[in-house]
Amino acid sequence: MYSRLLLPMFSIITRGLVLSIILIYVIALFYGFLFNLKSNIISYLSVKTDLLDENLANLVGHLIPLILLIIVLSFSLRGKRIYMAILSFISYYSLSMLFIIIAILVYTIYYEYVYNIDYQPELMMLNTSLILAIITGLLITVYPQSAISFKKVVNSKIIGIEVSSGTIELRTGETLRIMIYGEEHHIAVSSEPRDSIILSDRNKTIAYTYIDVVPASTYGGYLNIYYKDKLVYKLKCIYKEVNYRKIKFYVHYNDDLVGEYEVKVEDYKDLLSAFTHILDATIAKLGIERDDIREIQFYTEDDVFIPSTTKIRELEVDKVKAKIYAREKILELLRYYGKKDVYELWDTLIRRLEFLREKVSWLIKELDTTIEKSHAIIDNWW
Amino acid sequence: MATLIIFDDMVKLSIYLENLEHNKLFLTRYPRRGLKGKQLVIEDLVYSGVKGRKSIGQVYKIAINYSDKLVFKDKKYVLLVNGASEYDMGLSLYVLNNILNNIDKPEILVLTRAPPRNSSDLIKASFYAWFKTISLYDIIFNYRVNGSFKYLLLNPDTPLHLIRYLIMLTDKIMHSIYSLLHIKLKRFLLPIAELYVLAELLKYRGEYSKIAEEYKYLLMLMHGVLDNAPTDLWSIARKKRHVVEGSRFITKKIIEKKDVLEKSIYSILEVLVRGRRYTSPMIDPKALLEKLLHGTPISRIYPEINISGRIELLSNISSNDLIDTYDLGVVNLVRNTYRYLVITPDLENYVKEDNVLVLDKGVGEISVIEFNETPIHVDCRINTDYLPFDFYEAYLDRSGIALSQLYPPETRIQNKILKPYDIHRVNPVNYHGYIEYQDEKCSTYIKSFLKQLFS
Repeated sequence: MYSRLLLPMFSIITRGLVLSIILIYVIALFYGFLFNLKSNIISYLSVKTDLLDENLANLVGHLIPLILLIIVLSFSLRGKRIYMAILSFISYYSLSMLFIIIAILVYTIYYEYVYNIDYQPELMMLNTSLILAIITGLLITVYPQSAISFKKVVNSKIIGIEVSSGTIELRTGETLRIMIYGEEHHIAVSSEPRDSIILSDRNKTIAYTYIDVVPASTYGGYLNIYYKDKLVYKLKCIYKEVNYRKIKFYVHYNDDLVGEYEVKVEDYKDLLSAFTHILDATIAKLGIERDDIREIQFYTEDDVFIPSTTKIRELEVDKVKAKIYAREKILELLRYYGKKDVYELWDTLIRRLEFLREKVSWLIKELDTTIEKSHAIIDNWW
Repeated sequence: MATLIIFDDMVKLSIYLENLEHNKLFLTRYPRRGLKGKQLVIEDLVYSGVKGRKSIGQVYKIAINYSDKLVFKDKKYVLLVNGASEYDMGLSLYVLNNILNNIDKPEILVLTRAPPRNSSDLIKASFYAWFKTISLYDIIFNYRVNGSFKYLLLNPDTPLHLIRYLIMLTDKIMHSIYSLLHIKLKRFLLPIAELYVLAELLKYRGEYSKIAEEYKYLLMLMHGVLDNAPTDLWSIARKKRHVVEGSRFITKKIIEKKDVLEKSIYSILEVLVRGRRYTSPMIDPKALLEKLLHGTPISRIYPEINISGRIELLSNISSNDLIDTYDLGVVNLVRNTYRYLVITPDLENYVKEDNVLVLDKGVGEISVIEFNETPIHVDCRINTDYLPFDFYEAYLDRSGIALSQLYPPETRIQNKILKPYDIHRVNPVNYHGYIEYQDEKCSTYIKSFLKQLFS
């Protein structure tokens, strides 16, 4: 999937050129530089018909473009970045001017028709204005008011990138930047499989909104870009050349050594994300909840602290101590019971255990009847 | 009340038939235990000769030896035959012949499970021959008394529930429907009981995980206490050893039961979402659950979901959406179609339609069932493919070698005796097929055959 219509080249520049030509034409028509009018179109109305007197027409003719400018400018700037805001301003401005012109021409033609005056030139002006109004309307409503471009960020330099092949290959340290111009809330970016690509939050600059994209592993994944629920781009995003480093983690849980793991990790990751999978494994092994973990720290073998955001590439040692600290629920309970007599505590525990045992056997009996019931019920569906 | 005659290879159906009030007669090869009803053993081991399967002809001969035991006195019969078993087929022919010659004005229904497409040629050929013979019986019985003989075929994998359902319905079908019946049906259930059980199971799941958690902490705590306990606590603890040891067994049980629990929840959900072949939920279970959760009492649920409108909607379901109970062959032509709405007694007040059959028990269940009277006349090319073509091919192969295996050695009808070759020469024709097309040119042979038979 590759939609050229959403490229800035077409969406902004080409459309902008067409719209600005129309704007120039409309302003020229309004002030009477075309079709031998010799005065602006409101004065023309007062000369041709008896709707306005000439003084008022002069005033109105100068006021209308200004008032329109203020109104249209204020609402078209809202919610859009600057390029698309200018575009929408141009189009709505010329559209509203065209409507005024069309209204005036229609009234004039009607008047001349009633009094048997030749209305051929006005009809021609009306036709061209109508066609222009339709073109402007189409360009601003049917054509999405958005544009997307893809850039690569290498050492904080922005470089253009060709995406027509459907695959984006990044080297280590490089980031894909998706720039969104215009109505950004219509555009959604997602990755498939879900965690294969890391998407940053949306950052706004004055000209565009951008999302930084980094594949989570060497295998990468697909990047889907939607415009109003329609898939417009499907790009594969992978790392081309990746260096691996062997790191040995000594995992400590509450200062007890619980395991040693040697893993190969991509060197663009930071220490914490390289450790994530081992952390999951350790949690599973110890049977603790993820929410109970309060702190994870990294040390070298001679107990020098390493910040968790250090890149693997910049790490100087190959062996890392990872210390996980968790809240122990048993300790809390013990602290509560510690005040009481230990014999009494033991007695309570045993009684509770006996109670639980009875409860479980009762529960199992109840469950068996329910499961039997469920079998009978399922049997009834044939 | 009709007598159910269940042949040996349909005996596994007996559990499903326990609640029916019919008299039951089991005809089995050897004494079987746990059957509720009269049992008559017709041993096919007596017949010396080939080992293994017996053919229709052989079984028929065995049955003749037992003729003093096989005596029938009732008027109404329902025969359950497995078409994949020569034993069932041969014996059923003997039973029919017996009824034909001894009982005045009987009423008979033959329910048959067709053999699967991949069964051996011998079975396919036997089934074809049996079907031909049964169709002949159809003509004879109905010729004497209109409406006295009905028979129908079912898929090889028909759920046993469906067979029971059809037996229950036949008591209520009128006499006007007869000869070969092709049945289509669809069943709709109101899944209140399912939702109730589902809720109960979910409750147990929550309780189980809570208890498992508590167990874990309790044992950890005991560890912690014992770790830094004075020595005399240890001696106290040793006395309670059986309590701790016993809890190990319970933990194991909890884990086991949790698996069963998950599986039950899954299968109930599967049934609610997908339904089964013949059965679907009457309304979207989610909507019903929402209604129940919002506090609608069960007694108000019928008006709340506008049950009579729903019944009207379901009863007008198109014939193509009903599921065939037999789809090995193709039905090209149907003579009469009778459509019924089958409901449970609790829905009786909500139904406005005609042609309603009310079941004796059950709750919240609607079925739409269609009985199609199907004529068969192979000479006139009427429904020639009702039995698949490979059945016919197998029959052709087989009949050349051993005709006496496929048919009874002799069939006695009204003091006339039919030999296997006589029946072999007739193509499958049933009552409706014969009656409709007796004036056509194509049916001259069968006409003269029957004339001879009835003269």
